[in-house]
Amino acid sequence: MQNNDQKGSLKDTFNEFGAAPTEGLWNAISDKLDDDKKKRRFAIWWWSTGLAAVLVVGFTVWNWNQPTGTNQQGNTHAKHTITESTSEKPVSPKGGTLAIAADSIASKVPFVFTWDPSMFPFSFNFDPHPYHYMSDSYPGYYPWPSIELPVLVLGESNADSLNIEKLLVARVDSSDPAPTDSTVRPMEVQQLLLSVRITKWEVGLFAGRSLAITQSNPLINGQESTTPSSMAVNPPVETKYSWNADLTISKQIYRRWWLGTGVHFGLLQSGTIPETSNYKSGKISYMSFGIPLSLGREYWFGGRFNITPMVGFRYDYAFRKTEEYTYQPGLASISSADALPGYSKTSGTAHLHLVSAFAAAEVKFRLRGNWGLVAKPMAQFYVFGQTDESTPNTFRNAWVGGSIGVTKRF
Amino acid sequence: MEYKKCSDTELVVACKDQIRQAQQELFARFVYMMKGICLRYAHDEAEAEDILQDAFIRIFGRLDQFNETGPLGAWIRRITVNTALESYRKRKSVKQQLVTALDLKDIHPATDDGIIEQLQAEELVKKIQQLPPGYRAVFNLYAVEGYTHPEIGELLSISEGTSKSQYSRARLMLRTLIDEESSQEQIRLSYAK
Repeated sequence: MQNNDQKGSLKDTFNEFGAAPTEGLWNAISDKLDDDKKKRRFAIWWWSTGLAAVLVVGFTVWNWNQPTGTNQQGNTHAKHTITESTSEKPVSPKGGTLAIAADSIASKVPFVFTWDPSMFPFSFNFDPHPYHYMSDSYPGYYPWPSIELPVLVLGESNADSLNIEKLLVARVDSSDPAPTDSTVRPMEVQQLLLSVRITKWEVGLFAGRSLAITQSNPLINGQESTTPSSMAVNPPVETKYSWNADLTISKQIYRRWWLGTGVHFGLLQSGTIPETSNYKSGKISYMSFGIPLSLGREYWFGGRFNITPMVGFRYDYAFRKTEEYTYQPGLASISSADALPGYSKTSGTAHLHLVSAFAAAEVKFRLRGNWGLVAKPMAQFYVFGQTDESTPNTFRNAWVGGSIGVTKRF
Repeated sequence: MEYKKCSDTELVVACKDQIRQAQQELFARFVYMMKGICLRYAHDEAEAEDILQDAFIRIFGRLDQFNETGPLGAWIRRITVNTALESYRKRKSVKQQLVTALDLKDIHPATDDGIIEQLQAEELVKKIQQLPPGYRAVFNLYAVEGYTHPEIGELLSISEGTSKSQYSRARLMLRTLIDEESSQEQIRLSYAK
């Protein structure tokens, strides 16, 4: 009971209790209310966008799955065009007089919303050229021109139907109602099919420089030798700079994924082979030709930049020319233009087959006219190699370098 | 439009339309009472202002839920208390619970002779603010808001027994704090003489 009394008493004590707010509290609340309003608007925007996206996708999927009668009616159409016009008109389940491949595909691609990275996430653009919807990673980048197509009118003879001039005149003639329900658009069909199958191509020309790190050991009785004497025969680790020129050809295979190949040309001229007890000095030149195969995915940053990390393999055929000066006791008295006193010069050639794996990234700045300016850092590792040199060696190579170049998309 | 002369109901209607002047008027009408509540649940004035701000944002956001069957003041009061409790729940940590347990040892048993009720609200609020958060919440809910222990248990996710013991300990701690202050005051006065 005492507690109850106390409760009542304290309630009375605090009944009128209050305190004045600090200055600026209302302003803080007002600001927060404004922020909340913006957040709410943003949330509404996102929800509506999401809903719209779901509707678009849903409608597209639903429309895609609608039976169009293409197969059955297509046969009818073939029959129809081959033969002379008859009174019999094939009826499309969609209400037209004929369902053809063009209608079928067009109905599957009613419209395409495309994302503009420069406007992300605040804009969706309606794409007036939906023909490249499967192939373009960046809409507007290389939009196909709109297709103006002649119309094949059914109900006329096949020969007449292929007379484009006549058809165009027929279309312009207002007295002739537009044969929307009885037309085929063979080129459109072809273009649509092509757009699905054929994607973008990109060609690039690069020049660069790499640091090549090589380690080779002789094979003695089939075993790799790393003994000090064998090390003396072959310098253990060398670093050299190589120049390279690359022609790349890439094909967009799926959305932002690119498959790349091309031609690689490499040129390496070593400075000096490290001096050992056997070697005084030497020079090694490589010339290599390679074919890479890579897979990359591009990422867009803003409207101008994109980065395409890629991994791949490259096969190289290399021609190696070696000039070595080997110490020969007793030769000091021999005067030769080619050999230093006391050293004999030996030259040799070898043919190498190398397979290496690489990881690279194309950092691209998009220029006008589908041109791109590219910087391409790269790291490459030896995977497999074979050589015909007289002294069999194992060798391991790694390259770290970069190239700059230009690309052009088609 | 002059919102100062509006009734609470009219004010709520205007606030639902997001009219800033109406919201400011509602703020002016209830901020004094609300800050009193917040001060009781908070450790200091800064924390009270934080709770107050959150409470207002919540009130303006939930005015649609006000069904006008009761007075607006009571609804706002309930929202404010709930906001304060939510703030307490967010801050509740193991560390605070340990502090609470440690503080218990320092409480000397004292006879509860109703001295708490004799204090002025301002003085009592200062003492309440010195209580550990758990004690403070239970004390406020039981002694001031009039909740029962089962209701408090539900609100704070504790058992009814815990609520009762926390309330008793809160009272004892308050009493100890008051005693300490009065003894210090006596010492200060004796020095002054």
